[in-house]
Amino acid sequence: MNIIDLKSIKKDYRNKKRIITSALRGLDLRIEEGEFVAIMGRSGSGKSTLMNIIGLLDSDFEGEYSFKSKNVKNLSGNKLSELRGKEIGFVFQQFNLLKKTDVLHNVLLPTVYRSSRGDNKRAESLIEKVGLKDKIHNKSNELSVGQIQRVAIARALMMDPSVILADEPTGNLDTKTAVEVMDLMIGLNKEGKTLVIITHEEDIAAYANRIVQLKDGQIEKEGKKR
Amino acid sequence: MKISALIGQAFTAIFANKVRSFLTVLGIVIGIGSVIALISLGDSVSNTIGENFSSLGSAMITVNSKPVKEDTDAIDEETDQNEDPGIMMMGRDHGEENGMRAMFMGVVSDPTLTEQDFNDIRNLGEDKVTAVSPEISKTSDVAYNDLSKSLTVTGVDIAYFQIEGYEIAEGVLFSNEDIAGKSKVVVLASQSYNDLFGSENAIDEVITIDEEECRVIGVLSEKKESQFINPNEAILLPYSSALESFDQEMFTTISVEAANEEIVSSVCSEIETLLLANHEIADTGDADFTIISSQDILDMQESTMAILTGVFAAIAGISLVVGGIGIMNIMLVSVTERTKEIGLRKAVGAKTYHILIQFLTESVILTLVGGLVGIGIGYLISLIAARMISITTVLSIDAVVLAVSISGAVGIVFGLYPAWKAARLDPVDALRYE
Ligand SMILES: Nc1ncnc2c1ncn2[C@@H]1O[C@H](COP(=O)(O)OP(=O)(O)O)[C@@H](O)[C@H]1O
Ligand SMILES: [Mg+2]
Repeated sequence: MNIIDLKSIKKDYRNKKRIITSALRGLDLRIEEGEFVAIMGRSGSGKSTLMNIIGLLDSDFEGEYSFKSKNVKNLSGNKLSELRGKEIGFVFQQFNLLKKTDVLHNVLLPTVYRSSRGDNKRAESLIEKVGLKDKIHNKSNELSVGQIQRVAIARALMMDPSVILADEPTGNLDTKTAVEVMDLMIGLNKEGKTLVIITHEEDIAAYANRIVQLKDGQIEKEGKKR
Repeated sequence: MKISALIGQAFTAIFANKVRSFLTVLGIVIGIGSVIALISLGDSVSNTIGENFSSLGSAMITVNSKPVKEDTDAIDEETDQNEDPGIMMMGRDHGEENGMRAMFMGVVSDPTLTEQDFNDIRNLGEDKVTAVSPEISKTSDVAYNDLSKSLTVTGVDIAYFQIEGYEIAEGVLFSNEDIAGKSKVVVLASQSYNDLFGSENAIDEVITIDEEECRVIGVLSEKKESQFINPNEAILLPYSSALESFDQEMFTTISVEAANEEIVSSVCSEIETLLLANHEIADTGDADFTIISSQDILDMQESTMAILTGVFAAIAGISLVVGGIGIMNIMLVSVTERTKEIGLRKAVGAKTYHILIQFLTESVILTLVGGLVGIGIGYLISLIAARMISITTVLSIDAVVLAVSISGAVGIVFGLYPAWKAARLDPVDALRYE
C-alpha cells in the first residue's frame, strides 16, 4: 500500500522582487509503507522542497497528494499540524532542539500538544534506545552534534509515527558518528517505519532500498536496490 | 495541551533572559505600584477624613467671625477693645479662607458674632437646630499651686459638650445657672486635667486663669484624637463668664448642630439671613462672618482627594501603557529570535492556538511577576507616605485583586499582537529562518 502518493507536483517560490523560482516541476512519487527511500540530488535541486511537502509542512503547491490514501491537499493548517504530530517524525540537519531544555523534555516536546499517558516512561525508553540514558537530564547545549541527532531521532519516535523524514541528518556529522546515526535509522526501518532520507552522500544512500535522484525539480532517475 | 508544560516553558524562556525580563517589567512594576499606593493611600485618607467628620457629626454648621477687609476704620474702632494680644489673631488677613482655616487649625479672627446672634440661632427651634454654642477663646496663664502654664481657655454654652461629644468623667458640667450667674467655674478636658493636676483630685480645687480664681467642677473623659484638633486639650468655662473675664462682647465662633443632614443647607441660609439682618449688612459679599457645614468640608476634602486620585491614576495609566508597550516590544524581539523554535514546534504538531497561548502565557507571566513586585513596592510607598502624614494604611484584598487583574490584562492586551505574529508563522518559513 502506498503511504505517500504524489502526482504532478509543482512548486514555485516567489521572492519579494516577484522573481519566480520553480523548485519542483511536475513530480510523481509513490512511497510504500515500510520502504526506505533516499532522495539525492545537487544543492538546489528541490530536495528540501519535496521533503516539506511530504512532511505536510507545506500545502501551497500544485498537484495531488494523498497521505495514507487521504487527500491532504486542502486540509487547514491546524489539521495538518495534528496529522504531522501523529504521523510524521522529523529529523533535521541542524539546530532543532530546544535550547536550555534537557534531553528528556526535548523528547517530550511533541506530547505537549496532545494529552497521552505514560509519556515519561516512553521518552525514557526511547532515550535509552538511542544510547543517551546517562544524558537524560543534560541540557541540549551540553551535547555533541551526534548526540543532538540521537535526541532528535528519539523525539521523532515519541508519537510513534508511521513515517520518519530526515533532511540531511548526517550533514553536520563526521563519518564515524554519521554511521552510528544511520545504523540507528536503519534499525527503525527494520522495525517497520517508513523512512525517507535526504542526502547527497552515496554511502548513506547505499543503505536505502530505493534511490530517487532529483535534478532541477524533476526526478532524473529512480532505482531499486537489491 | 499541558498546562504545567506550558508554564514551565514560559519560565524557562523568561529566565533565559533574566536582565532583559527584569528591565521589561519595570514599567509594569511602577504602574502597579502607583495603583496600589493610590488605592491604599486613598482609602486610608478618606477613612481618616470620614473618622474626623463622624466625630464632628455630619450635620454640623460652624459660623465663624470674619474681619471686613475694606472698611478698615470700622474694624479699627471695633478692634480697639479686641486688640488684646492674648487673643489669637492669626490668619486675620486671609478673608475667605478663614472659615476653612478656623475649622482645621483652630485659627480665630476678630470676634464679630454677638450674643443676639447666638440666641436667634437657638430660637430657630428644636426641629431645626438641636444644639447651639458660642465659642470665645483666649490664651491665658493658667495656674494651680505653683504650676503655671500658658493655655487656651474657651468660653462655651452647655450645648458645646453635646456638640463635641464630650462625656463627663468626674464632677459635673456647668449649668444654666452658672451661665446666667457668670460663675467662675471650669470643666477640664482629660489632657488639660493631667497637665495641671497629674492624677490628683481636681474637683472643687481652685485654679487661676489670668489671676482670676475659678473652681474646677468637672473633668471630661478622654476623647479619640482627630487629625486637626486635639479635643483633650481644653479648659472650658461658661461663655458669659469668659466674655466678662476676657473683657469681650463678641464670639469668634458659633457651633450649630442641625436636626438632620437633609436640612443642613436650609438652616445655613436661614442663619445667614438672620446674621446679615442682625449685623445690618445688605450684601452677602460684605458679611463679617462665614458659614460652613461639615458637609461643605467633606465635599472639599473629597474633591481634593479626587484630584489626587486623578494624578495617581494618570501616573499609573501612563506607566502601564508604557510598560505594556515595553512588553510588546520585547515579546516581538523574542518571537523573532525564536522563529526556528516556533517552526520546530509546529513541525512536531503545535497548532496555531498552541503557539498563541504559549507566547501569551509568557507575556502574562512577565506582567504578573511585575504586578506582584509592584504590589509590594506600592504598599511600601503607601506605608512610608502614611507614616509621614500620620495615618494608618492597609493593603486591601480588593486592591490586590485589582492589581493582579490589571497586570494580567496588560499582559494579554500587549502580548496578543506578538503572540498572534508567532502563531501565524508558516512552519516552512520559520524552519528556514536564520
Ligand atoms: N522559501 C524560498 N523562497 C524562494 N526560493 C526558494 C525557497 N526555498 C527554496 N527556494 C529555491 O528553490 C530551489 C529548491 O530549493 P531546495 O528545495 O531547498 O533545494 P535543496 O534542498 O535540494 O538544496 C532552490 O533554487 C532554492 O533557491
Ligand atoms: Mg535542502
